[in-house]
Amino acid sequence: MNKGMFNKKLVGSLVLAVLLSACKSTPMVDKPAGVEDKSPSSSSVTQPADGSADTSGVKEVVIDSNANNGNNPLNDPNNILSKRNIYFDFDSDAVKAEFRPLIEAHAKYLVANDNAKLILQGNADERGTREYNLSLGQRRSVSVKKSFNLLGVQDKQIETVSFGEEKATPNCADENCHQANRRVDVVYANE
Amino acid sequence: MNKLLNKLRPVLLFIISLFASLAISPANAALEIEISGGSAQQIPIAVVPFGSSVAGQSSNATQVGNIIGADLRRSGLFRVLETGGVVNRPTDINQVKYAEWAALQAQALVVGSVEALPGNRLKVSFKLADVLKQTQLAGMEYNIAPNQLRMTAHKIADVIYQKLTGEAGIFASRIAYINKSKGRYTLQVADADGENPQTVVSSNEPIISPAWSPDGSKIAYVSFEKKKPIIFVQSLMTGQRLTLANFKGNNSAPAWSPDGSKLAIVLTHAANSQVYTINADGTGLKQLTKSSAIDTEPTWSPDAKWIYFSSDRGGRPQIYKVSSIGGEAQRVTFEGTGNLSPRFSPDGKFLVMIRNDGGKYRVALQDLTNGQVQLLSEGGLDESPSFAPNGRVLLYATRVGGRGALAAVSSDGRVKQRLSESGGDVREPAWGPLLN
Amino acid sequence: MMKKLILAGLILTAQLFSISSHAALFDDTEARKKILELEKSMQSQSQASQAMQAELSRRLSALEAIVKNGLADTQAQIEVLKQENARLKGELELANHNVDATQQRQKDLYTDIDARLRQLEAAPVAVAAQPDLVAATLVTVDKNSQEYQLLELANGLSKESKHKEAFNAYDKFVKDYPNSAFAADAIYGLGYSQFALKNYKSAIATQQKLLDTHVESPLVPDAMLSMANSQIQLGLVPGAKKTLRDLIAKFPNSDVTPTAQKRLKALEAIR
Repeated sequence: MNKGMFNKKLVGSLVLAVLLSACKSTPMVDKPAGVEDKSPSSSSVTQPADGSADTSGVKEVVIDSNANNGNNPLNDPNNILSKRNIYFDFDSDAVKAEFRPLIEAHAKYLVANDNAKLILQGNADERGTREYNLSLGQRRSVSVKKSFNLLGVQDKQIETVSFGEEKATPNCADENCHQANRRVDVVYANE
Repeated sequence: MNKLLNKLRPVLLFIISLFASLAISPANAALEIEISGGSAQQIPIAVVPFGSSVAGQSSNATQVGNIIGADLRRSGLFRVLETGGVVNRPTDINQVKYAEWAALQAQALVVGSVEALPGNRLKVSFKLADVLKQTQLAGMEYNIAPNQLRMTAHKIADVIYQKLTGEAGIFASRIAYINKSKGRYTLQVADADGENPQTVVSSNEPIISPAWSPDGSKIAYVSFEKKKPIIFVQSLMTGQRLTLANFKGNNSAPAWSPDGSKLAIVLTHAANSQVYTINADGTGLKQLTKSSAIDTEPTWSPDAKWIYFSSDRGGRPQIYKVSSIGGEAQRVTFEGTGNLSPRFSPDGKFLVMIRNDGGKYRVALQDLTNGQVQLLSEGGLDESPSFAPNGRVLLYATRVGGRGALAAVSSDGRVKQRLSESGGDVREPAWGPLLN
Repeated sequence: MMKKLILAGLILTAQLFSISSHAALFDDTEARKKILELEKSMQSQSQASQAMQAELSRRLSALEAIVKNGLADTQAQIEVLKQENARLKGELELANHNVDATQQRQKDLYTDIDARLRQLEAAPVAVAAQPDLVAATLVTVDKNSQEYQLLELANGLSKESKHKEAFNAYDKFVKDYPNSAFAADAIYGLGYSQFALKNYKSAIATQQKLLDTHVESPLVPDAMLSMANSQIQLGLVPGAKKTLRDLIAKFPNSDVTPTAQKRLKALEAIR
């Protein structure tokens, strides 16, 4: 009996020690948990107790339910996530510095929401042939995708497509009008 | 659906540009000599109004004669004589009094008739006669369904054209184009004269890049109906639709190989546009170009050895060529700010393209034997050039008053005509193959 | 990490529970002591993990800063470089094309010139038949050469009417340089000197020699006129007339033709 009890104690301490030492020796491996800690909904203490402790993995679902309730940050006009247009210079596919905060915000959202999928829709002004403009719009959406990749967003969460000049305002009279047509629209898959 | 199509069915009107009105109006017939390009003299021909022994067929008969006359006149190679004042109207060659037609200075004469056959069929017959030699040059009989009447008239015009000029006629061919009207996009097919438009497919999302299969039975096109460009191949007869390419990213710019077994297409997957080949049934995808730039708008040389395409690998879009089995690409065009949309003449000797000269996009024709280039249009945003099957005429899209219109120009640049559609925005024309 | 900590806590709690359920086997003090030890250990572990968390968070922020600013800038720069690279590639393509075109043009030009030269080479007689070309080559003879000096000397003596000396000089030239490019000039000068010395027969023979041996010489008409003059002096009027008629017929545009016409007219008037 005595023996058995000590054995149990020993096992318990060993488990604890192994867990703690794992934390110590490989701190960087635990990245997903770290990201979760930073998200607002991860204050696990205040979560309604929903049964046994081994349901800790549910937290990701909670974030989704947050996104699904009334105050969707994607549609909140005060949230940067509601901003969806990235504009380009003539004949260029370089993402301008002024659009980095927009991309960072959406990247953060995508990293936090594994299930969210983004479609980047490239557009071009009407000058040039339709097929070439389709490719030009595509190159712009690819350029934006690269920015997302650099911020940790995985390829499987992004599809790049192009509308070419098909959605462009026709018969532009000035450069402002053309400028408005040279853009990438950020659209979520379920929208 | 049908109702909607009927409502949208465009009445394609020939709105003739200044050049063409000079070319077509018989009052200015003298100027027509300039347009014929090659033949210094137009052939004076009389098309006797077709007759019928049954009163019920007289309007059909009149229509056939009118279509033949209009086709020949529009080619610029014929002077179609007024026959209104002629009393004797033969419907067969044995009734012809040649002296009367010689007096009208006709060199050639067309007579014919339309008769009803049992089972709601029609018999259309015609004879072509040489007035000076007083001999028959050609003659044919067609047993047709009533809805084939117009096409039969075009076929007769082709026979006459071929007999008298030695070249293949194109009146019986068809053209495809996209019509945008009231927010809907419609892929339509019409006779070469713009008449008899039929809707192939319609959508509230854009449709672009229609391409005829070499046998004329199918059209490949790009539809945005799923919020991204996907390539479909649709049978004209059955309306059956095959999703040819629906890969991640864009699927666009279909171009049939000369034998119709493959298509060159453009895919992006997750990166820039690149040219691929794919079997006509959607199998056997193969990447053809590999660059970090845009490679698009592929087209096959008539001998199927080369695929020409546009690419901005050199900073600005220019035309390149690559072997159709793959390899290094070679640049083909060196002049102009940029060159786009290459298409071959049927004999493979010329390349038509859209040339950007300082922001003006125009149709340009390059002689591949000596590299010389001729500008054929003077618009600012001209697009989508394609050759008629006999290589004599080119069809392209232009803008008139802010709206899309179709235009045709002879390959020597002399004859120009414009087709425009009432209330619509017409673009992306493609001239279909000759049908037999 | 948090998850694992919580899990560890739960296991520990379960462990504690099992310990207390068997408390009867221990005395109280020992149990309490064990509990306190465990609590203390847990506390220190928790503190350590909090510190680690803060450290991780700090390092993550640093990484994010690198990504946001550093990598984004790098990507933008790569795009610019790619564009520049494409532009240069395009210019290289154009330059290569121009070189090819220039080489082709040069080749075409060479072929053309070569073909023309071959034509010329194949027909040398045709070249020789052009008196202007021959005259032009004569001019290029070296003016410092002895033969040229001798000719100049003879011409100078002739101008000074020192006909005897001039005759000697011309005579020496003809003997010393029979194949000279100036041979015709010397023969003509010799004949002219003989005429001046009234040795008409010799003068006629000398000019005849010029006519026979230097058919293409521009001096032929002059020699004929000189010959006619000698014939006149000898009273050979029909011969003189024939010589003058030949001269006028063969060289209607020569400098001496008007003179020849006057002489002929004069001779015909004699009759």
